[in-house]
Amino acid sequence: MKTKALILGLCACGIAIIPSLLGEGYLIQVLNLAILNAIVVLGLNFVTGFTGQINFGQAAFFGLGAYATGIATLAGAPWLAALFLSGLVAAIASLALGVPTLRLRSYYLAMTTIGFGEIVRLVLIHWEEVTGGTSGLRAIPPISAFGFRVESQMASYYVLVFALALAILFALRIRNSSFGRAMIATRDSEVAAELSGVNTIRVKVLALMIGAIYAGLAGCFFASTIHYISPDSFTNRQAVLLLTMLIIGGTGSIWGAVAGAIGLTMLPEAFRFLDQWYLVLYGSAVIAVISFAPGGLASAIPNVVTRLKAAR
Amino acid sequence: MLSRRLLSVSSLSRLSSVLLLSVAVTNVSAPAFAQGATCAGPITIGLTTPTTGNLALLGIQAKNGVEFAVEEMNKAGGIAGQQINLLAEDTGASSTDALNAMNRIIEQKPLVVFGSMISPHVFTQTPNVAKAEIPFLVAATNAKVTQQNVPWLLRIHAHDGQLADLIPRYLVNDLKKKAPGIIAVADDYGLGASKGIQETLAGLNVKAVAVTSYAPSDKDMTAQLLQIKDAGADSIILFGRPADVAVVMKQMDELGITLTLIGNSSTVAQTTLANLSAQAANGAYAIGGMIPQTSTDPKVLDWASRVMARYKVPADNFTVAYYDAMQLLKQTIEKVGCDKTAIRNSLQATKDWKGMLISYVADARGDLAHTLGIYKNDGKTPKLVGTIKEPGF
Repeated sequence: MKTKALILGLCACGIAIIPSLLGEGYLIQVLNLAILNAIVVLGLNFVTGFTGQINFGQAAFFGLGAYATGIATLAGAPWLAALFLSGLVAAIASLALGVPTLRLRSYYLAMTTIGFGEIVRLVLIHWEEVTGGTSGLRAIPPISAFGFRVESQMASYYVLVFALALAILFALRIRNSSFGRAMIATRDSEVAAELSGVNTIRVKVLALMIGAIYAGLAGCFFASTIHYISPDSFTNRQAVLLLTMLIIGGTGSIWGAVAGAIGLTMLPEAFRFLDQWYLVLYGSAVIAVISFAPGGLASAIPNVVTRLKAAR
Repeated sequence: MLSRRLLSVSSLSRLSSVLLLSVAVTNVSAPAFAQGATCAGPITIGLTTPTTGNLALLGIQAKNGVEFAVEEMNKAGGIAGQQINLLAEDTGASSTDALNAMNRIIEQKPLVVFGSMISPHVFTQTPNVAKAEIPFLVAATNAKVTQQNVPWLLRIHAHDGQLADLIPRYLVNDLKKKAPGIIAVADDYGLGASKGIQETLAGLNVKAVAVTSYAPSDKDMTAQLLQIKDAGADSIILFGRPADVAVVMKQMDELGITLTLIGNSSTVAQTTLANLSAQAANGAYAIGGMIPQTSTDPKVLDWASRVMARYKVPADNFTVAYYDAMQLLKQTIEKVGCDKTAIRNSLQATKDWKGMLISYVADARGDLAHTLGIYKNDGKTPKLVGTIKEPGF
């Protein structure tokens, strides 16, 4: 117990001093983007990891949340209202997508979510009066609540770490609830789950909605931290990247989702010194993880620990 | 007492004379200080541009232009006796990656940074570059880029606002067409231009008979082309990137659509023409940034062939713009030294600076390029029909 508390304390201290080590600038902004991706991927984990449904629409929900905040705050709405609105818009969009489509399975559902992502992207591009079109929205106000304005990237880091901590805690609570078990039962066998009394359609729709709310809220933080949004940040390419982060981290693992998102956001930046070759190394690293640890980093680490113990 | 007071007055007047003299000396010596001799160590220049992803064809042209100029300058002794250290970062196709790339460059304290021709990338980078107070030279084509009221930002290439004004005017006034159809790529460049073209046409009392667009990755634009043809168009205005413009021109040829075609410089770009037959390319007009291959100046042609030999990619309008910008920067630094504010102020005061193909003049917004070329393809060879200037320049 004491050891656990000590480890937690050390982790908290480490997280707290990171900004002072990195300073305001490039690295802290990359870290902030990694944290935002972690929240989005945690959301994706509900529908893909726990419930077993392939979802390429997560980037679109992320974008809807970002645009809801951008439009609302530029119109003068308080930031907290924009935060609420971002979650709401993403939730409504997920219901609109989920209710008619989650009766579909496997590849059909994947194709539907790809189509949804493309529709959102096209709306963002063509509804220029509202979204700014391909030029996007500029000068989005920063996070501002309870009399505090979070202007710098260092200050944003602490807010985002807090948001990520809440997102992890909420995910842990849900996974250990009866709804969490229903999601996992649906993933393992829809027929068996239905025979056990689980309304699998309802479970899938709810999982998609929770995941979309995560993405929508992360979108709000993204818009308020980066201060500029354009459709090219929420494409299907980004959706594939988010799914890759989850697979690399370990589908169904909360800590794996966080590790995958942070790892795959930081890795390309770490390889930048290789110029254009960084994509080769990045791709190789992804292939290596998938080949040698099909369950992702979440399964690889316990395996390594077990082997090390056995070797002793 | 009086003499002492007189002495003190004379001492004071001598002191003030010395002070005045020293101020005068300082002022006289200021230009000597500003000769660039004070640039300490290598001069760091940053560049962010897409060199991977679907925008790489464009980004590589920017990189080639700056890099080629830097290599020439370093071989000739650098700028003001200092070698140039070029930091180039890939932005990929995403604004978020573009921001990361720029932040990484800013941390290395560059004297000047070049942004790319991709407007969303420049929009996302601008606040951080402005905060760092670094002169920011871009070729982003969205007219709004220089309307952000950021004094550190200057544009070195023609923008789509100019094209959207000049292309319809030339089509209606010179080519005498009254029923154009518009087809544009559905991205920042194409849609912005399409809107501007429609506004200019309205001012000329002409209405586009059909307005269509296509996604950047689309490979079949026959439906849009047939829509324009069936609407009774007498001409087509095409706005896109070289890769998709080549597809449109190829499919026009396959469909037997022989309407007069006019577009941005992608219509005559070497990368477009390389993917077309002479029949598909023939007769198409373009208005855009100046391309070197149509020049009759042996120096320009020699430069274009040296760029081709170095990179195995033909130079285009962006290569010229970035190369020119680097030359302008060299002269600026040699004139005012390595003070960022002085460099910015000097660039903002640019007047009739002769580049490789055009003269550059800075306007109040920070736009430096106001002369565009009119081209027509003779088979697969673009010919310069003439130049056209933005009204007021």
